[in-house]
Amino acid sequence: MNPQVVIGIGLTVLDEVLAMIAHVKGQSGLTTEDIAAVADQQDLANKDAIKQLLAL
Amino acid sequence: MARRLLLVVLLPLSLLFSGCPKDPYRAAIQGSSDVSQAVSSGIKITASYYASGTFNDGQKATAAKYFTVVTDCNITFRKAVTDVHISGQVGVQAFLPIADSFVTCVGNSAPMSNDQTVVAVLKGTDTAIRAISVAIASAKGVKQ
Repeated sequence: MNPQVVIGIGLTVLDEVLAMIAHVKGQSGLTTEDIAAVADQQDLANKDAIKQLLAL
Repeated sequence: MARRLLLVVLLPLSLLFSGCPKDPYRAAIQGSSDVSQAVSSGIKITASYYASGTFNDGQKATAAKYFTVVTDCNITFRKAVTDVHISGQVGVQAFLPIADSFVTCVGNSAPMSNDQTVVAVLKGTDTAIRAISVAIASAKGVKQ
């Protein structure tokens, strides 16, 4: 595999690891209902992102 | 190489999702939120794989179908958890069957793949789904 491609994928993976850490840390000060509302919004965003993925 | 990179995702996932929330309701909702985040990450990694030529159209479609099924099952899961909470049930045993139903829901509808590259991308989300039962069972609260 092209090294530039590997670096590109590696950066994407690193971004997602950082996003997960931020996600978990961000939940600590929220009520359970707040976390549910965040999840609702994330699911809606995911549905849009899946549509965009299929359109690529 | 691609599969090795995904280990970088899976290890933190398993660590991050192994926390011990205060009560089963919060554990279930937090677990659901973790799944939503894992799906978001999986979509972005799939898009990156597709853009780099690591995934072809079929692999991308399989991943997209899986993420769609997980998202629908996750929404159903979170509604069921909220309904149980509103009904006044607080015990671990009230929430564990719902988490099991989530696993079954995904298993019944998600596409099967023997492609190890696809499986590796979906593994992070699968880990997050299965971690919900563990988190609920580990939560403090009424063990009835």
